Amino acid sequence: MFQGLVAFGHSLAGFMTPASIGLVLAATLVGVVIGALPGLTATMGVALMTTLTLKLPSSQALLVLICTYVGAIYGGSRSAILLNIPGTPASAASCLDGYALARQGLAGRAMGIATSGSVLGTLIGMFFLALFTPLLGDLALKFGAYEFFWLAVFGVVISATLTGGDALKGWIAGFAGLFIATIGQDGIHAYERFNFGNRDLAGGISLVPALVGAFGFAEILVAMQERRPPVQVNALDSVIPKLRDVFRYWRTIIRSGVIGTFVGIVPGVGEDVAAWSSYAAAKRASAEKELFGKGSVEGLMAAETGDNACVPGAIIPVLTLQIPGSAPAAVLMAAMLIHGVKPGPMIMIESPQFVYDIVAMMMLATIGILIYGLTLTRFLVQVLRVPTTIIVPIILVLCTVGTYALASRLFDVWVMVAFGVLGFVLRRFGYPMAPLVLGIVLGDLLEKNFRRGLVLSDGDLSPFFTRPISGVLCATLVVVVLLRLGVLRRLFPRRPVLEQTP
Amino acid sequence: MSMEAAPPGAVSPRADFWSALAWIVFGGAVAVGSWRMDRLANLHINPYEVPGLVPGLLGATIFGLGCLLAARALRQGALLPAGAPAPAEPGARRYIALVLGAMLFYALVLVGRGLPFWLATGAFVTAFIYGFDRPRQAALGRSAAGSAVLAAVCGVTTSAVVTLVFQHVFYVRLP
Repeated sequence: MFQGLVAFGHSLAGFMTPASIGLVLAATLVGVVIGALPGLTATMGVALMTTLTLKLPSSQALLVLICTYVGAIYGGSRSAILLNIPGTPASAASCLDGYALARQGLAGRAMGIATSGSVLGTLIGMFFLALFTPLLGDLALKFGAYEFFWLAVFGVVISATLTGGDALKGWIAGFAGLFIATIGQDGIHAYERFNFGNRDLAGGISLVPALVGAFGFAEILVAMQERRPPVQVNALDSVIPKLRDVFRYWRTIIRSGVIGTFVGIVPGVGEDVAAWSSYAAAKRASAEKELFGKGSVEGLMAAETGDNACVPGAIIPVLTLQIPGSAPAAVLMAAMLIHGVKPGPMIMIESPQFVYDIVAMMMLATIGILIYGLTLTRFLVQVLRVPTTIIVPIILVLCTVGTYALASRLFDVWVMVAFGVLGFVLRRFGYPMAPLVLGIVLGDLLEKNFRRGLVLSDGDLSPFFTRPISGVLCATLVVVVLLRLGVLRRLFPRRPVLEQTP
Repeated sequence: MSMEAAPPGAVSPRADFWSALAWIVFGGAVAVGSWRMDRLANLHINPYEVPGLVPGLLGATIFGLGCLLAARALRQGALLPAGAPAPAEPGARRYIALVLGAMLFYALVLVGRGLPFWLATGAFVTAFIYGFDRPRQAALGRSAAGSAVLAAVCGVTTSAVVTLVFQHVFYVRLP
């Protein structure tokens, strides 16, 4: 514990340079603005910033990406409160009580609550990040090919199941993502697959152009399609968070922080699920349930604490298992690989200080959102007034030039465009993007470990089911799928509730 | 709001049926392509290392899930009149096709085809903002000349900032 604190202090001290502080302030601001603008999500922000930070040293590039991530999740609450439009899907739960408070003339107070919830949520998540990463890292050392295969399948299936919407479509998107990852040379014999003679495609689909396409190009198309009406914002009261709110709802804050972190750890299940789960738990435990949805301070606090606690939570499996906990964390993982940082089970052995570097980056991002939460309200109101029709072409230019900058080849721009169009069409047909992206990220892990496992067991499939961790993962997966398909519910129907007579 | 996907129920059973058919064809094609893939027998490799194994299994899974989706859509009345999608808002398709066309024109035609990047970007941003923001500007009572000036300012600024930052700060060779 004490060693961890010392390591954290070292990491924090390492970032106390004018350049790093400047990057923290700039990146958090970019994140908050991206998050606040309806139509632009945290995943898109992190993907875009990945392409813009290629030339920075790895520690500074990751600092920028983490600040953007944290800032964007926080920024989403601004438009949720002021416009009743979640800036990112993670802020959808904040609309319910945030906008209700704003309609009562308490928009400033609502933003103060969102700021305190977000800051405390990130701090709670950060604590668990520092605590659990070494523990999970130790556990991950016991994982072999069979366990990693199941983890990859587990990530895709759980992501599709728990992110809401149509699970069947999510599974299809996830398996399509896994297939996309197999395009190009295979990892063992370098045999070219599904490239149709194209030399560029033989190298495979690069992750970042695909992500920028699926989340950048496709999202700006969706934003244009929605034709958002002009923004009207009423007068604001004070945005300074009230300590009274924090002390009064400390149980809700801790509960939501814990829920948010654990939802983040589950592969592919992002901040939106964390916010809704925290909100639902707070409502269930609250003494003032009737206020929820009508301007409940507790409800807003729970949603904001939950979604921000999910950010550090989603990074825990990235660092220990190389499995992203959310879509933005998938992009962050891709950025780590680009910058030569190899997360995974060996991280606590090879570079334990890196884990504390990430915790320190989170701390700086938290300070960033606190500063902007107190100072940036009027500026953000002006930003929200900028119409989508002006933002969209600028974002497209950044998507294009950022993608090209990765390897100075037009092929990456074509991949970005192809995934943008594909992402837009799939969204129109109700297919979620998170499982698709997770599939692309996890495809290589799945294939290598499946083939390796089969070779090790000489074609015997039983180790995939009989090894303890594999067995648990497989059984969980089967139960989740059966539950979602309704098979178990039909086999074990709930007893009908008898009507109570007065 | 930006949607991760269309909310449940927003997509008609018929649309689900067509998308399911597309997945069935896609999954089937992948599975067949993987089955016919070279098994590298001349290299005497382990049969569990054949390159088509995993893509084949994934293709078969997508095929199976596509069949499930098609069956579900049929059960929900995909082929009945009630299963048809709600008529689109008049002009909505044309509008989004125009937006998509403009975005594709920039990314695939203007960039990297010999036109200087700064010129392509400046022209695209100016034209896009003028073309798509003009109705909003008109509703605010602003003249066409005023809208054109605003669009040009945005276009020139974007082009200059992006070109300077990428070329001189990030040292990126622009397309």
